Amino acid sequence: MKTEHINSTQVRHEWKSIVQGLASGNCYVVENFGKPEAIVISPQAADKFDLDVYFARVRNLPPVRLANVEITRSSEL
Amino acid sequence: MIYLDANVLVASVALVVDEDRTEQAERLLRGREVFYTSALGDYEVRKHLAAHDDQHLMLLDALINQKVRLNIAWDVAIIQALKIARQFKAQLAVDSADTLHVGWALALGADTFASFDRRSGPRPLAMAVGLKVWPKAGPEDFAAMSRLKPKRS
Repeated sequence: MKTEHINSTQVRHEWKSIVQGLASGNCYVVENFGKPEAIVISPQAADKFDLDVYFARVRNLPPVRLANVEITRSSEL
Repeated sequence: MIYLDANVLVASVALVVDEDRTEQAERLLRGREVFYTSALGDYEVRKHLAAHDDQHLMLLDALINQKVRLNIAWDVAIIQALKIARQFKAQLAVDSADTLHVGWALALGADTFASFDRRSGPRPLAMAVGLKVWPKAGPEDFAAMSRLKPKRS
């Protein structure tokens, strides 16, 4: 499994190999003039992410009390 | 495809006990769907957790690198948000960031908008533009949506 950096021209012209790459577990960072615009994770890589381990780490940290836990936004202007 | 609002990301990287939000977020992320968030959501989580343990932000990095796709194409999202603003005109009592989140979800082709925010209006707005909401819509969501009647131009 590897991560490749590609641009939108490659997405248009090489989409078949990108689809194949995703199917074999590769991830892609789509860049626009060197600036990352999107990270595309293969379904296999996402499946391998161990949520048991991840949420054990989340629960191991002290609970967070935020003043604005919903991140509601106030009216502006 | 499910778009995650910032408050769902917060509950995914920090233990938020209100309404068992972390438990709900975990159940959502265990589903087989594809999850997306935006540069806006990523920024809002980092801002809100800035005063807390750095480990939360390390967890966010792990989540975004391995489970949740991050989209940072602001321009397309802004175009969608402005279309929403033109569609709803004065009825759009939803602020800029919420409108942008919903616009971003549309720009990505999401079918579901995941948000715990039942106060400031992104959920009814998402429903009004044809998205499903998570957690499941309740009477208050439908009541708020009915106030968002688009004006014909």
